Amino acid sequence: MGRGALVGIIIIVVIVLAALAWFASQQAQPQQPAAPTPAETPSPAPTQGGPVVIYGQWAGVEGENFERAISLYRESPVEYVIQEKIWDVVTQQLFAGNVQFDVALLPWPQRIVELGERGLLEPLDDVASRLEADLVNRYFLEAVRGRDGSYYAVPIKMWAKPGIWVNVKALERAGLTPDDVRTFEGLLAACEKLSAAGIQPLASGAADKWPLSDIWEHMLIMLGGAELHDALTYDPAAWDRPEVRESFRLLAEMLKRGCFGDRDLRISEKWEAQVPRLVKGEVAMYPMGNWITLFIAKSAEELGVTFEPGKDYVLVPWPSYREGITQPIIAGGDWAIVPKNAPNKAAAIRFAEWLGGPEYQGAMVEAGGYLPTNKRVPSDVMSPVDQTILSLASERGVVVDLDDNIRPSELQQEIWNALFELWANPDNWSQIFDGLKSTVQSRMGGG
Amino acid sequence: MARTISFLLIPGLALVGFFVIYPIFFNFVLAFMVWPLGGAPQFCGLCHFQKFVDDARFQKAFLNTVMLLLVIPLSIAVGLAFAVLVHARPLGYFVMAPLIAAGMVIPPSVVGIAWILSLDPRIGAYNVLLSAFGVPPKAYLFDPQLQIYALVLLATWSWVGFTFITFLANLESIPRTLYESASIDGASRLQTFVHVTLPQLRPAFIINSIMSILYVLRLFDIIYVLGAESPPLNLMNLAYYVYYLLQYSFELGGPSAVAAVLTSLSLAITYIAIRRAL
Repeated sequence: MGRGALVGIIIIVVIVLAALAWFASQQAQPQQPAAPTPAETPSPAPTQGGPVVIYGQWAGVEGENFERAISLYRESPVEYVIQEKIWDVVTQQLFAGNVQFDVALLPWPQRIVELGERGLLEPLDDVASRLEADLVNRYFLEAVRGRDGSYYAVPIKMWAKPGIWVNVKALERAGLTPDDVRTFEGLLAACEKLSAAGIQPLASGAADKWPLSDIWEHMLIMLGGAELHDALTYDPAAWDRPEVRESFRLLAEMLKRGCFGDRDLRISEKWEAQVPRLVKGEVAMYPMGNWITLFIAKSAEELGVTFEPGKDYVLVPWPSYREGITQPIIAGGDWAIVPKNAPNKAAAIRFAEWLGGPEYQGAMVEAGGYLPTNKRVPSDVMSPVDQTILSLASERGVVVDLDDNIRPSELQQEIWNALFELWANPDNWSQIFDGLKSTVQSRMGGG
Repeated sequence: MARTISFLLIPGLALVGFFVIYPIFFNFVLAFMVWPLGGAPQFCGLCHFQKFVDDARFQKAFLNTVMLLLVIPLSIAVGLAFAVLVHARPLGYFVMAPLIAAGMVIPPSVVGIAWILSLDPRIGAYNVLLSAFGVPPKAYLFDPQLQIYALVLLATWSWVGFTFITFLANLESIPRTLYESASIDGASRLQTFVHVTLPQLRPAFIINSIMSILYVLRLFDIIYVLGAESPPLNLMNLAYYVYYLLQYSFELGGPSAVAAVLTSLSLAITYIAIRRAL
């Protein structure tokens, strides 16, 4: 056979396949509604028998506690699978229509809503209505309600970012006390004293990027209060407010003064690795969520040292900047989702409801570093630190996490990236902020 | 005879058509459509390609892809140098060869993790070593200004095993008589290398060029690992951008359009490389 004939065969094959591709894509159009509601999306009959497979990010001591808590579930066998990059795994399986888990635990309510509105998640309205009365705050359900009115997840955990965890002895080595960092000026002065004493003032966990948004949110609330913080999640015009630009300027100021350590060291810090450094006093302060208490306990145990809350380390609210601004606690949660095509859907829904209830949450709260969304969890099982956080939340009020709730959810990555750029190049803060603002305003406005 | 050959080609062609040509073509079809997940596809013409003009992320991914093309000359030059070295059978060459090829046999995800640890400014071996000579620690893999160069070196390290083995195999097959003739003609070592060895290595150069281009354009795993707990937006190349768009835009047309650009680039560069080589 000549070369020309071979090329001819290949061209014919390509043309035939091309025609088939066009035909397939044209056929797909009339068969599918323009915007199917979740109820209209077909789902296979659930296959019963295997364990309820749960995907979650919680590893280490958090994961161990979770596995211990779910062992209390008696209705069906359960299997916990740690997925470090859970978003990637969950979306890949949902998009491919080949789901290998029954329940996934996710901390991003806006992303959950976007998946739910595309018909990829099972609406959990019945479960939500049964749990509604027991919720500590209605936000936990509202955050996962789609525009179609359905609830796409069950809240199972509340967390808070209450301020800065302070190693008291590290401060003392620089001649400071926790009261010295209650104002922003005091914090800046402390940075200089601690640096001079050879102690890194604050840890940030910048290599993981997400901890930076928490620090920035503290700064936003410090400057503009809860209203500004809330508006930034949905209102493009709020990004023009001077306090937002000022938050970047002040962060740049802190970075330039060495509050977060030397540039190359701070940008390569993974968040978990900073916990033992806090315990050892290599770093004096760490703005982090309440879950850190678990990691502190584990770290102290591994290092063979005593590091007691209230004595060796204390929680200090993020410092105040000017009078008249109430600084609420930043809070968020974790939710359980059930995919539309979950292999054990019925069992998964029952399990998700159990996760939203007092038995599971009580077990987790008792283990420490975990705040309940269900108010039937008795307060006496809470550690003193967790009780302090809850009392701070009731005194100061609560705002929901900005980057987890921003719309559209892809902006979360842009915020994280811009803050990381800031951590690397604080001199360019103005340019970095303008870039972020322009991206946010364009995407929020549908650009 | 010719008929039998044609007949025997049919299964192979069918397989290639179904598993290679059809997906590529369907991807090109999707590139001209908007297809939200859970919704219906709609033809939108060049809408995705028009967006790329203003899309800073796409431009960054494109630029990074171009930067990563540096891996090709680097891996070919280093692979050739190692191959010539090992071919000369120096002391310990049998230990040297597997060590040079190690980057190729280690999974890219492990390569990423190993280098994150090795280059860590606080505990990494390289920074500890450099600090002994007074060089301050640098966050090579995290610094937005440096990380693309670090990625180029990392990808080169990971790929140089392939180019090394190809060159070595080619070197081993060069007839001794050619060297003997050159020696009789009084050629120096450099002249022998330039006029005998290099021309004889043409097949290895062709294979290495084409495979290196494809390696670079498809590079994904290492970038994925370097992203730690969030996507590495500064390191994204086009291959990673396809994945990123799919994960965060919930739409198939945009990622397919990027994939179409990437496929076109791969085909065009490979075609040019083959044409020039033949």
